[in-house]
Amino acid sequence: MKALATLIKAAIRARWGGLCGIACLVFVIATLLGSISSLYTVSAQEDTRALDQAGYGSIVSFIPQWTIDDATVDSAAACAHVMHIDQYDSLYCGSSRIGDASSSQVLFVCPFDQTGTEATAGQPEHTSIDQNGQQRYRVFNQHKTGFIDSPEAPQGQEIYLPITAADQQHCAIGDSVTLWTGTDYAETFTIKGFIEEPLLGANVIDAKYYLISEEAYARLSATADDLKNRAIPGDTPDCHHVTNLNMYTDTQDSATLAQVQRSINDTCDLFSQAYATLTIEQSMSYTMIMLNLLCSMLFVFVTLLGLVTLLVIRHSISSALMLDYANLGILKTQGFTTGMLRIVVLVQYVGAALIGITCSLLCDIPVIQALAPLFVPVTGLLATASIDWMLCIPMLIAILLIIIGVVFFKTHALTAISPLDAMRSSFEGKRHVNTWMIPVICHRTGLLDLKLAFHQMSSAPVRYIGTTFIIALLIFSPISIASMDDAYSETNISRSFGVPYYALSITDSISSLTLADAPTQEDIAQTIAQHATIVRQYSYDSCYMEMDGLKYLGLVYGVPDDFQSVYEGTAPLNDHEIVITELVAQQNNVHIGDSIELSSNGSTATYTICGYMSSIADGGNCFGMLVSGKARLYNVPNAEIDPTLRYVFADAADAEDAHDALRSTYPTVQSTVGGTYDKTLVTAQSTVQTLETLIYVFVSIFSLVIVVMLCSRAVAHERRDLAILKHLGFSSGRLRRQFALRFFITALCGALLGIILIFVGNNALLDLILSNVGLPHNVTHYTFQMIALPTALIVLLFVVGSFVAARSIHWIDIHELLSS
Amino acid sequence: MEHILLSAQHLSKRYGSGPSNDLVLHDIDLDIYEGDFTVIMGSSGSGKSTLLHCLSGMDSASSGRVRFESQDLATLSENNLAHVRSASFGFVFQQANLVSNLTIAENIAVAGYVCPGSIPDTVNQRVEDLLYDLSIDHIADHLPSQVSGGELQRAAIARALINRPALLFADEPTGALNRRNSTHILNLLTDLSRRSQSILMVTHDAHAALRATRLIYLDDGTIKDELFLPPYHARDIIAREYLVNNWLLEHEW
Repeated sequence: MKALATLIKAAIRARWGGLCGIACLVFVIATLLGSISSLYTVSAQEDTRALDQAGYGSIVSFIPQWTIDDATVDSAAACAHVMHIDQYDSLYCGSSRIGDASSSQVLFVCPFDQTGTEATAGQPEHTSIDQNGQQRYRVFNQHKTGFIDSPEAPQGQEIYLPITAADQQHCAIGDSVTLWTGTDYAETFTIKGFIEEPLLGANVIDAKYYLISEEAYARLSATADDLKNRAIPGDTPDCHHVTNLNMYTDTQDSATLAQVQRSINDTCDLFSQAYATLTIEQSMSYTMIMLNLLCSMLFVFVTLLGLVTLLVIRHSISSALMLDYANLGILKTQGFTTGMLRIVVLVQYVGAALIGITCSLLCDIPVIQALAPLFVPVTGLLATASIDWMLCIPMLIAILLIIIGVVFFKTHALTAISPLDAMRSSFEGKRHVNTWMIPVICHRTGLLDLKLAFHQMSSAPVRYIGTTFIIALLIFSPISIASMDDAYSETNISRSFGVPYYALSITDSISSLTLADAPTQEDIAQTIAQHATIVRQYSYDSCYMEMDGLKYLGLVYGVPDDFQSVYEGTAPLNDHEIVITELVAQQNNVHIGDSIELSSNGSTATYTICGYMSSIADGGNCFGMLVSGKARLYNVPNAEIDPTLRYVFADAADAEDAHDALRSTYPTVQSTVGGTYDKTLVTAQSTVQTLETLIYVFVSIFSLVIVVMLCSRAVAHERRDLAILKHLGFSSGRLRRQFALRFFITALCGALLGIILIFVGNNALLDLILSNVGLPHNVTHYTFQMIALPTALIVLLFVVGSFVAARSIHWIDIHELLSS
Repeated sequence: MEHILLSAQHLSKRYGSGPSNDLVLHDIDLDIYEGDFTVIMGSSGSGKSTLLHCLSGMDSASSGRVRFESQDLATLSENNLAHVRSASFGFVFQQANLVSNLTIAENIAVAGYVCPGSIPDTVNQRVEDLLYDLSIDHIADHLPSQVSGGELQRAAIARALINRPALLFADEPTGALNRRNSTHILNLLTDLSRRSQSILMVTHDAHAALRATRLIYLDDGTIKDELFLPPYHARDIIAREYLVNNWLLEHEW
């Protein structure tokens, strides 16, 4: 033991720099894996907790009050998989304004202290305080880093909004919120605070809960009743009652929630009239969508870094064995076995990895604390800064086991060390015997350094090929993330997501523009065109339809050319065709060419699937059809579908100019700027850009650590040869430049390989990652800058790093060649 | 008057610092003449290798100066000293010290390429000539690990001669060789000396010392004596041995 301990101490002393480098690399990987995976699982746990605390059942449905009766609810409650149903009241709001910004988000306005009506005896009421005294909805503190202990109920015209609204709508406590804008019963409230609302709170969901005071709700409730009574039959006032059905299913049941939904719908057609029906699983997937995206991308990136680290460890061990060849032979003559020598190597590298892993556990919490608040505007939840030990420990053990495996495999070379051979001649002499090396003989001046660089590289091919692969992987990561950033750019979002970025929507339907005193479409277009260049114009409608018992969002366009993101098959060319997303195809097990039945409001029609489209709308749970297709379903003329007009512009400034011009010229025409999902896309963009910055930082750190390790090792390896070259007349500076030249050539080869990997594998990788958010097909577009910038950065880091790391050449003394 | 190639004046070398420092060379004045085969002899620890290293610029003197063609080596920058060593000096080590991953021919050629003003094709031709002259052309494409000790040392000599140095330094060139290979190397050096190559060699081998035209005896860091000899011929070996051995015995070597 003492002997082994002495050897281990000496070995660590000799190569502590390299071991520190490995500890660093393992630290980065372990920290990223531990913190991000913990953030993900803790967020998911938090979502589950919040949903449970808020008292949501397995399925929540929002149904206009007049379309549902107690008999229907009882019939649903009697279904096989349903345990009981809560129902409570809210008010629908389809138009609102926060500050000066209009919004077309669907709002369900509830009182802060909500009392529910039991459908089943003995079940708890849905109130703001549950039976344990816990507040159902937690209210964020001012800094959004925690919650208020005893939040006050809103009084008078005070209102609570979900926390995501603060970022989406750029609002703060004290700002005004106007509901039912454009009507003569508009109400203005003042924001009292922001709540954690787990069902609809995620920023990708285009419906929200707003909570107001009891007295305001009572007054508005009476207004809604009055409006309904006075409304023309068939006409629905913007402010009307909605019944929120909260369905609890049997948790022991093996049936999926989708199957339960279908079963309920088949029994009593409950959901056909609903504005929206959301299962807990769907809600959680929407809430976690961005975290899912981030974690998927980071996991891929960390895996690449992990591969790089393993290559570095392999190289480090090979170099160590070569350098210590003679010493190892001597040790063997002293009685050290291969197994004992293996333990010496194992302890060094596993020890370094353990140090890296231990330090990462100390850093995970601060990293989570730094990252968690970034996702509050996205998820609407605040993840606690805690480590998921059940996930982290096995992951870190797996990392350690992989490293042990690599070290064990590489130290197999110890078996081949013959004591006599090792002492007679250095490993270097024997190693080159069977290696083909690029000749040094020159015929032109000025080529000597280049030839020597190529020669040295060819004399250690494994080392430099390994480095080439490392560089290729390091270059792959930033280019890949840059291509994803490009997919999210304003110019490409339409192609990737199926929604335009800079759009002005006329929320008044086309038919209303034919009324007297209303400007015509031509008037509107002319006004807009005077102030901004219109890229294109199209008509748009959306509706929810059922497909095999499940509700999907239908995107309805006027003409086939309006479909911007069809990537396989064709856009619908007639009223019998629809396009679907890959997610919808998987859920319903259908393909291009299949027929499928759509139903809505009691009407049913069959359509043929003519293509696949890419869309982030409703997380990919959507399909596309023509106006004529929708008209066919409802058996009405096309003109009755009554879509809205949209104008698309090249940039935000044009869209805003057009909006301002329209409002000042035709103040009665309601319009909003931005696509329906623009806030989601902005969030996605900033997530990807944040990740891009992170990746650049980590890739740069990795590059510097690796090049210093590799170069220092190479100098140590070639110490004697460098002394000889110095003696022959090569200056230290010239030898350092040769080193930098070697790594420059290697970096260029690695860059080329990395770029080839990008073109070969990046699309498949992005499809794999983005399929989580409903985008399984991504068309990447590479620019010169996208490829040149990371390539230039990493090549530069390797060249500069190697030149700096080779400064130890200055201290190589030609005395080392002398006999005494 | 013989031309002085290298001149040491009041040369001293000290290792370490403070009270425990070791004065290895003490106030040495020495001129090396062009065309001489100068051999420095002495017992172990006499400072002969240190003297060689200081004279060749491989090591710096603690005091005094070493001048090569009126240039004080101590005043030269690292680059300029490297140029002088490359263009004007050749050095043969006891261990051949060839670059392990260059072939024999490449080891010799690189020393030629690095010399300022060299023309690659001229260097390549000179490599071929040296390989032939030293009878090692058959191992030109071999690696150092694939040749014998004697062949290795001949390759080292070829490398030292590639730039036609004004002065060839040899530090115990036969120290690691057997008698047969030693004789071959000494014959080579003698032949070079006959062709007017100036050689400065350090050895503790009396047989090697016989090849000298000028013997210098070093003891305790100072020059005790020197002996001038005619050029070496094998037929005069007995008389030469007698003269040199007696001289060495006088110095209790």
